[in-house]
Amino acid sequence: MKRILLFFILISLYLFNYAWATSTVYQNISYSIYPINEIWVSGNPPTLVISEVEEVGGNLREATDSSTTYTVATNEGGYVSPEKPKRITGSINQAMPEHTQLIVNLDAPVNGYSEGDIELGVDSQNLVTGILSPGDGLTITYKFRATAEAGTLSGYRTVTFTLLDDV
Amino acid sequence: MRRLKGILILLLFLLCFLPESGFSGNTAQQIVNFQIQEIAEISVSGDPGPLVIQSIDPSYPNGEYDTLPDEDSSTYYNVTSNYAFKITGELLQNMPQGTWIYIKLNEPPEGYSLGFVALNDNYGTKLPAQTLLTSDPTSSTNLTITYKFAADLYAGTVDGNNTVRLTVLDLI
Repeated sequence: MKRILLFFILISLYLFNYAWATSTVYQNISYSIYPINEIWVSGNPPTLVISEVEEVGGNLREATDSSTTYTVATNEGGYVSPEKPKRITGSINQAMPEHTQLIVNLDAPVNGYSEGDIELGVDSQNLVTGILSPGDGLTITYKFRATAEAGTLSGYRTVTFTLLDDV
Repeated sequence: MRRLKGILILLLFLLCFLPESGFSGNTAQQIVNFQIQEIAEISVSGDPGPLVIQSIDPSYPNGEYDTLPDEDSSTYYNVTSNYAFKITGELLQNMPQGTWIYIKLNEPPEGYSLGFVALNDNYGTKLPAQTLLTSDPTSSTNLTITYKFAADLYAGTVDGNNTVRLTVLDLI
């Protein structure tokens, strides 16, 4: 009986010493990740120049450029429940001159759908829909078309890409 | 004879139970035992502010994380220990996958901080980690605690809280 009592006393002393030998504090942390939906481009494309006539049909040969890319980053897409797919719209700040067309085609992220060649106007139009994942280095292709009636001209337009909820 | 024997026994009894000083003439001795037990105390100034991620990392997709981490250095800790120690940090709950909580403790003069250490792994599972080591006893106050919250895009949108336990332990 004495031995058992001694054992418990020793254990108690050990625990008492242990409590003194360590110290613990707690800090509560709160964290949030807000919805992130961002899109940006690699730069401006070079001037689209029409300078040739197609051999067949005699139409002006369109000028094309695929040298620029865009990146789309979203943390909503397929990671939240319910999914919040995104879309990208495009517009220009001013109508194109008569007899000319500015066409854009955006490659889609893995989980997204490209609407293909879209003629840009001042009203926003869908370029990519159903975006559920981010993507980077996705190609932007521009085509500049004109007919002979356009004559000679030069100008520029600002293209605005907008990332929105795809509802 | 019997009476004398009784007196002798009484004298012996008194000699045994009288204070030691009672023995002495002009000197006295005492044995004083002393002990300092291992002492380690840590305290913090409060809870850090909310850690909020709200933008993409400018170097995405080539950055360490997809999003721009948020940091908080608004809290402090005080630590006193009379032995070489280490401080460990541990989350009490797992984090959402794709998020990371880091902690960095500014070091006391006798200590060595391990810098930012992750308190959870890539799956969000909590991961106890050493944050600081000391080689000598120390007593330091107002040492900065820095938290960093990082996330990848696949973490989605998140709202939550967790608790960090800081423990002072013997270095050995």
